[in-house]
Order: sequence, then structure tokens, then C-alpha cells
Amino acid sequence: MNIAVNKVSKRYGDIQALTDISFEVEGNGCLVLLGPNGAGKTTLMKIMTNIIRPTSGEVRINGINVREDPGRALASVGSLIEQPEFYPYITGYEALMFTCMIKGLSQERCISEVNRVSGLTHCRDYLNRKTKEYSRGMKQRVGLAAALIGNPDIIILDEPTFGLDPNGMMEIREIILNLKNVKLIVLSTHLIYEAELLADHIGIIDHGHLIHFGPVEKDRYLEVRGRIRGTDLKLNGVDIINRDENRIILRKNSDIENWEIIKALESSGSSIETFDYYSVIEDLYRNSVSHSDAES
Amino acid sequence: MISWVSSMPNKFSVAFSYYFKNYYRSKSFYLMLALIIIISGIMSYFSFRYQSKINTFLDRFDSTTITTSLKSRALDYIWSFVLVDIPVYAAVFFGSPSISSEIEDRTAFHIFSLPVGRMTILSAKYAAAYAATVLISLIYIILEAIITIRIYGTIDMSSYLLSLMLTLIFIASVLAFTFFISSIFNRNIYAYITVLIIYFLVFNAVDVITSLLYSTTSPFLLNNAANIIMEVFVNINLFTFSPTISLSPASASKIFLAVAVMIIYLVASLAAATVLFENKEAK
Amino acid sequence: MNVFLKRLLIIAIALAVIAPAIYYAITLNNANQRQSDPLYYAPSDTNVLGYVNYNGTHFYVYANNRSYGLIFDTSSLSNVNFSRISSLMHGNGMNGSTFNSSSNFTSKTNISLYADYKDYSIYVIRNLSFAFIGLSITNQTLYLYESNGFIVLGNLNGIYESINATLSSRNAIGYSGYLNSSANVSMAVFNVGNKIVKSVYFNLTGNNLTGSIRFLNYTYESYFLSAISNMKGAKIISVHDFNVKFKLDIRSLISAYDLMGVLNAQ
Repeated sequence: MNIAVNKVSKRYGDIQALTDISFEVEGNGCLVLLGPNGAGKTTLMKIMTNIIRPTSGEVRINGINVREDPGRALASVGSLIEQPEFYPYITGYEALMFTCMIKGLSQERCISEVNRVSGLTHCRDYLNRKTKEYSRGMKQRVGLAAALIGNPDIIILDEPTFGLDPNGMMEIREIILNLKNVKLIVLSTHLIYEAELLADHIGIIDHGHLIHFGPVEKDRYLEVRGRIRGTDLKLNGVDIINRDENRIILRKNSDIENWEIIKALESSGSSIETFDYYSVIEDLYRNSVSHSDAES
Repeated sequence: MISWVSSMPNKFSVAFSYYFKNYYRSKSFYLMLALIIIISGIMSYFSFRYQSKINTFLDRFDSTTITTSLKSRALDYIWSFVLVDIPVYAAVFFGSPSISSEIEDRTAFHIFSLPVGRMTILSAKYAAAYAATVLISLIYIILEAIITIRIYGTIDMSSYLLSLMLTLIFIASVLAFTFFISSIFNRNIYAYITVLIIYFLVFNAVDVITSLLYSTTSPFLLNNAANIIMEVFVNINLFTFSPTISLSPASASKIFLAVAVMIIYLVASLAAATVLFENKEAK
Repeated sequence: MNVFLKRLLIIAIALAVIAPAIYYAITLNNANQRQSDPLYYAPSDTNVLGYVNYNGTHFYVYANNRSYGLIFDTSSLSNVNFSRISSLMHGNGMNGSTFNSSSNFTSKTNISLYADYKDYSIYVIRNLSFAFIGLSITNQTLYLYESNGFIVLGNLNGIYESINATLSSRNAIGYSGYLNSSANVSMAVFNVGNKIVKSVYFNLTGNNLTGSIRFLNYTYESYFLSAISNMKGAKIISVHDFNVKFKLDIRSLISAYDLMGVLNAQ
């Protein structure tokens, strides 16, 4: 399970949609591509799935160039790009069967696969209806089912919760959380909360540039609110990232337990109102995007 | 590479049946079906009602003895006269939006990201559109044979089969042409309009001009090549400034020329459509 | 496969099919051009152009002050077996050949190769006696050549002009509209260069002759009108400016020459 994006650029006429994007992810986990609307997340995912071709650079999935051999490169990939649309006179069931059989699975296997993924994404009730009758949410669920069909090792999802009701969103996030333990998932979103919940790696894209890429160490950052006293915690393995009278942000560099930090804070005269993990992604995003804006 | 090549026929058949379902369930298919039934009905009525007019029709041309076989060929000529336009309309319905709709209707986002080569997608879609068009046309062609046999008790089977074979080649050719036009555009309406303008305006204008200037029809235009479908029965073409009038079937060289022209359109259009489709982007 | 290579391969395969198909189509078309229209063999500067359909044999005639010729489509011949000429011409025995005995040609006919002219072989027929629709020619020497199923028979100039017409595309196809191939005889006379008429067209079907004459002045037009109005079985259809359309029953004439006689007398 490997995706290597190598110096990918994309130009639409006068508009430079992507500039020299490079990264590599391997093994199970979830890479979240985060960025404002129009940043280039979807463009990058379209290049990864052969929907558009890069102006320069290449994408390799498991070492195979997507552009040159999409049949093999995408064999282990399931994807959901933008709002999915299916041929109007085809039923959802037929669309899923087609997707499955195109992936090379036998008809018998596909029948059980369609059954499995439609159950997973809760779209079984309307699978026998023609897709032209589907609502946006229905299409999204069937599209997600199509991405999951055949149990692919790599799943590329472009804003998968878009158009879903709150229950639907929660269900999809739950599915992704389960899958990322055994699959490599690349997901785009502009919801920081979603990224926070799902990301193991984060790539922040703005104005077509990859301005941050790296693992997310969300369990290492803590935010403590209350009346903060003292300038030093006198605790090895904990750095103060930011502090004022009412809030302190800490980064754990070792396996120090949270109760030890609470004890240290209290012994320095601080009174704690809340103690929680800190949204590092929000911080990263804010810093990166504002920095990028200032530069541009 | 070997596994990829060996999986192609399977992927092709899966894609073919998928696209064929989408075609034969479409409104376009049912509209064409309704039209073909109406046209066939009208033709059948006129064939019975005005069968005596066939003699009048033949008398206008040559003093050759009018045999039953010639009468049946003349009737088939009249039926084929209508037939040559049927694949064009079917191709406009099925072929014109074939590729542009992938972008306009956003189905490309799903299809392009599947582990299947675009050439397989294109060929499967083309084959499905071809099957749908042939299915529509066959209703008319079979009825043509039934009515001819019913009226004259015989049909010139060799001419009929030859005409049928030429119709099948023509369908392939005109459909390929519409696929090519469709691959240029990202909006269905542009593809529809362009196909209609080229086929019914540009081709006819070129034909009229060459006919006027050089006193000959343009055999390299697809619409003229299609006339061979009727000319294999009776070699009459009155629609130019240098009409051909002969009650004999078209000569072999004329048939070969028409087939060569159709194959040129077929191969050139499919190659162009394939190259354009390979580079098609769903932006 | 590399995308560029794939594109190249598609184009190469397409060209491999299209190029020979285009070549084949052009060759066929050129051949068809020659085969399809008898007027392809008539020169464009002809003054008289005619179509004769007599007992199933039909042929075209062309003439001007230098030359004349008859164009036969061998595939349409029934009474006259010209295919024999064709087969003889391509064989070795050129001398002493005869037409089919069922033809209207006399049996005393010699065909021999006369000359090769621009890739065509011109044959000479000596002592040809010919009788057709009241026209009788005896002991004439005529020339002929064959091309794509058509045989052109005429005087030597007529043959040269016919061959040149096929090669330079200065043929009489453009005049086909003046002839009515459903008539027994259809004639068009134009660019005659005399002071009486500009053009004459007539069609003969059975015994009914319909014609149209365009005069150059009112004097000759009035002579003609008075003559034809006095002829038995003749009827004026319309008179428009210098153009007279008429109809007559040829049984009222001894032969087609009578009509000319009437005109000449005027």
C-alpha cells in the first residue's frame, strides 16, 4: 500500500491549479488533505485517480504509473471523487455490480460484495431503483459503496460526508475510522473537526501548493484552561508551546502520563478548569494558510 | 501486461452489457423505437396501397421487361430510401452525447477512476450504441423483407442481404463519426448540433457544389456512400445534377467504393475519438 | 504503456488502414467516373448531342463540324453484339473479324489495329455497311476505341477528341440535362454558329416528337411558325420570345429529314 506523488503540477490555461506537489504515504492509516475551497485538493485526487492528467510529474500507486497503466494502478484503489453520478437508466445495484466486476471479481463474489458494502453504507433499500431517481445523499452513499467494493487496499475519498445528514456523516466517519486500521485512506475535507478525527497524516494545500505535510501527533498536544501560574512546570519531557494567564498549550515529548502534568500544574499554583487534547491541526492550518496568504 | 490483456475481453463484455442496458432503457431508445414503428407502419401501408405505382415508377425509366424480381427490388429500393436516414438519427441519439455526456453529466468521475483502460470503455460504449442502433434498424429491415415477400411472393435475397450488410457497415461508420464529434465537446448540445450541421448541411452543401462544378456526386461524402444501401437494388440516384439512372443493381466497383469510404470514416473517426477520449479530462 | 506511444500506435494503425483505403477508393472512383456516364466520352465542344434508344439498344451521338462519334455502353447492348468486338480487340486475331450475325451490321467487316494514342488502342473498321433507323451507310471506314465497357465509334477526329475529352475532363457530362433518356430519340443542337437558330432540342418517343428551337431573330422564327402550323400532325405548344416549343407526329413526315427540308425551304 503505497502512494507516491512526484512533482505533480497542473495548469488549466492561465490558472496554475497545482505546483510541484510531492509526497509519499505507505501502509495503513489515513492521510487527510486539508485546505480551503479551490485550494487544489480535488484536482490532486483527480490526478491520483486518472480523471485528469498532470501537466507535469506523476503519481504512482504501488509503484505503477496511474497515467500509463490505469488498469493495474487503480486495481487496488476504490475512489469517490466529487459528487458521484451514475448513468441515469442503471440501478444502484447494477452500478455496484459493474464497479465490482470491472475490478475483476467473479459474479458470485460481486453479489456478496454488493450486499456487504450496501449494508455498510446503508443504501440497500433503494439499490433497485434507477440512479436518476436518487437524491444527493443517496448518490453519495452508493458512491461510497462503490469506492469500498472489492475491498481495495487504497481508498481515495473526496469529501465523503458531503451532502449527508448528521447521522450519515457519523456513520461514514465510523466506517473510515475502522478501515484506516487496515487500509491506506486518502481523504479530502475542509472540515477541521473531521480531519482531527480521522487524520494520521495531514497535507495542507493552499493555492495549489502543499504547504504542510507530515504525521499528526494529536495525542501529544494538550490544552489546559484555568488560572495558570508559574513559568516552569519543572517536568522533564514536556514543552510549553504557548501560555497566558488563562491557557497553556503543552507538547509531550515522552510517555509521561497526563496525571503527572496535572499534578505539576497544581503544584505550581495553577487551578485547572479544563484539561483536553489540543487541536494541532487547527493550529497548523491557521498558521500555514495565513502564512501562505501573506506570501501570496 | 499479459494479465491486463487477458482481462480486457472480460472487462469489455462487462462494460458492454452495462452500457447496452443504459442505452436500451433510455428515452432516446424508446423514442426511436416509436418512430421506427410509425415509419414501418406508414411504409407497409403505402407498399400495399400503392403497389400498382411501382409499375408506373419503373415505366419512367427504361423499357426493360418489368419482372416480378425487378418490382420487388424497386419496392426494396423505396424502403431503403427511407432506411438510409434511420441509422443517422439513431446515431445522433446514441452517439452524439456518448462522450460529451460523461463530462456534462459528471459520470466520468466514477468511470474514469475505475481500473479499466479508456479504450475499453470507449469500445464497449461504441459496441453498445451500435447494438442499440442495429436493433432499431433491424425492425424496419425485417419488415421490409416481410412486406416485399407478402406483395410479390419473392425477394431478391442476394440484393437484400447485400443491402443489409452495407447498412451494418454504414451504422458502424456513422456512429463512429458521431462518437468522434462527441469526443470533441464537453456539452451534449454542441455535439448534437455539430453532427446535424455536418451531416445534413455541410455534406449536402459540398455535394451540391461538387455536383454543379464537376457534374458528379462526391463519392467521398458519407451520405453519398450510404446511398449504396438502396442502389444495390436499383441503381437510381436522382438527387444530383448528374443523375444515375439504371434499373440494374449498382456495379461491384461502386459498392466497393462506398464500402471503402465508409471504412475510411469508421477508422478515422474511431482513431480520432480514441485519442481524444484518452486525453479527456473531467475538470 | 506510455501515453504518447499509445497515441502513436492508434494513429499508426488508423493510417495503415485509411491510407490504402483512400488509395483504393480514389482508384475505384476514377474508374467509376469513366464507367458511369457515356457522355464522359463525348467532347465538350460538341454541337450536336443525341441519345437514341432503339429496340433496347441505346447509344449516344456527338458531332461538330470536324468530328462525330457514337458511344455505346456494351452492357446495354442487345441487338448489336459489341462485346465480341471488345473480346477480339484484346485477343490476337484482329483481321477478318466479324460482327455477330444477328446485328444490323453487314458481315463484311474488317477490324484492325490502327494506332495507339495516349494509352488507348484505336481500331479501324473498313468497308463498314451500316443500317439503322432509316439511316444507311455503305463501305465506310470508321474508327473505334474501347474504355471501361464503352465503345466509341466515329471518324478519326471524333475518336481523338473523345480520348482527349476523357483525359482532360472536358467532356459533355454537363449537357446530360438536355437529353431525355426515356425518349426513343433525344437530340440537342447548340452553338451551331449559323444565323438562324441558336439551339435545337427534341425528343422522340414512339411517333411523338416534342421539340424546342431557339431562334436568333424573329424573321426565321416566323417562317418556322408558319411552316409548322401548316404541317399535318404538328402543334405549337408555346412561343416565348425567340423560343418555340412544338409537338408533331413523325408519321406525318416521310423521314426526319423532311423537317430539315421544311426549315431549309423556308
